[in-house]
Amino acid sequence: MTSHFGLMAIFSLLVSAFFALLSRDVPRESWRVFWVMSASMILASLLVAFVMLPFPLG
Amino acid sequence: MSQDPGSSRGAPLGTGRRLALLSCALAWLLPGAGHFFLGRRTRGMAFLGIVVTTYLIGLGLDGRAYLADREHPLTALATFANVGIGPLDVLQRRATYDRLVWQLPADPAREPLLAAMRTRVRSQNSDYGTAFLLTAGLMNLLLILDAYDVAVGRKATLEEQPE
Repeated sequence: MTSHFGLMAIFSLLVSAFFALLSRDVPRESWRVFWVMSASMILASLLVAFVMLPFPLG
Repeated sequence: MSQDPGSSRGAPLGTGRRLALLSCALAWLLPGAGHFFLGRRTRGMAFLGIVVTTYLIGLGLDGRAYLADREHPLTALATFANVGIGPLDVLQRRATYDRLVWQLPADPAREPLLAAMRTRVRSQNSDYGTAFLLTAGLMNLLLILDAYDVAVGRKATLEEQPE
């Protein structure tokens, strides 16, 4: 896979699943942490990418 | 969440330092094994799946293992993170350097290792793969600490908080 967004999304989902299971014992709370954390990571990454857009690539 | 070290009714083999160290050792040997041993079986299997998947994706993306270099002290931390994955660390070292090595030797023995590392880094996805490998190792280090907390009763057992 060469999609930067795809790799970032997979990374976010795996890390979110890990911390959701690690930090919460009740499944309902784990799912909530998982969705909030994964969405936050992906949206924050997109935001940072957008802010960096004016900077030169080289 | 219970903070009473004596309230570990759900732990199958009781608590104590020996149990805690055993669960830590198991957690290092195989991600999730510490939790599985302590009775958190579903959780242990889930951790195994998550950490090993992260690790295998890192290998598939041509991630590289770090070597501790005296000239660059921070590489020791990265190497420690890599070793956190346990015996699986062997795979990433063989893939990167084609041998088992954890420290960058002095000249001239370091050149072949640096050449192998450069070859790996040239791959398009190598940086992503390296991040996945480091993350997998760090996840497992956290699992080891969590298994210790469960074993000594710092975290509630499954009977106290249903999974």
